[in-house]
Amino acid sequence: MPLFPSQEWLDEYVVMIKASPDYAAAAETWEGDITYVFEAEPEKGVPEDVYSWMDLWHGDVRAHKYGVTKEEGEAAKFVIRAPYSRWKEVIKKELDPIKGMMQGKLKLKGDLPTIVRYVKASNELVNLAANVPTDFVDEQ
Amino acid sequence: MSNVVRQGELFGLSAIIADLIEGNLTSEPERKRLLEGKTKRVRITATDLDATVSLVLGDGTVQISEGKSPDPHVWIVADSITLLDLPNAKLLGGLPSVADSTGRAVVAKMVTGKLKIRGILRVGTVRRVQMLLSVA
Repeated sequence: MPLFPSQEWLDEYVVMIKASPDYAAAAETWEGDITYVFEAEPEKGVPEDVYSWMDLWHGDVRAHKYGVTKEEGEAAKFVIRAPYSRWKEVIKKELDPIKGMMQGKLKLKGDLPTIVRYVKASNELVNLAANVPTDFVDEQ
Repeated sequence: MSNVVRQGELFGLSAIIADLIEGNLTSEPERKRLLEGKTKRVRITATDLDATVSLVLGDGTVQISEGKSPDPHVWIVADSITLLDLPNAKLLGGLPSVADSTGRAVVAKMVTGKLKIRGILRVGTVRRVQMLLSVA
């Protein structure tokens, strides 16, 4: 199984997104790149922040890169960041991502009206992350 | 100067509401007229998050703070998912339209008590808040 976080995990995640009719429908008119920042937790095997970037366009993923620089990652239209263990909670479906944002557990940078307008697509994106068979780096 | 005045550090729900209103006022400056007129206090509570945010509309600004301000004219109480339905409901006359599926869902939640709006008879204030939050 892909290790989270890793290039292999992101690749598998993108395959899931591209294959999802629900996401394609919810994000049919979405235009904009997004960066997930998996914030460092050295004691859990994530020694530094990891920036994973995806160019999302009309329900598809046009490109993706794992481990981009902070500058590249922060330049995305939307940036969602949280410590590694919060992302782990999301992937394990222990934390609803939308509630997590409303609780400040996941921090979002970008145009809020757009995110709210596409809340269903956002939720679907994170639900797909939960469907990737995953090994976690701190459980190795 | 921004029309959105953040009082103290905002977090989670209050930060989202502040960013949402700020984004709407930036993309549609004509909505700033909603901040004119009499000062009105509005409270929004997300029951499942145990989070409350207070808004004061008037004098060309909306002041946003964490927690409960005293004596709100309007108090909106619902779970967080329902609160996110509010901005997505298409509006008719500034209020959720039943011609739209999200609007119908919002109205249904009001009827069943899942969405409570105390002070709902202050329609003008409810309408101002709804129009400030709307992304539909």
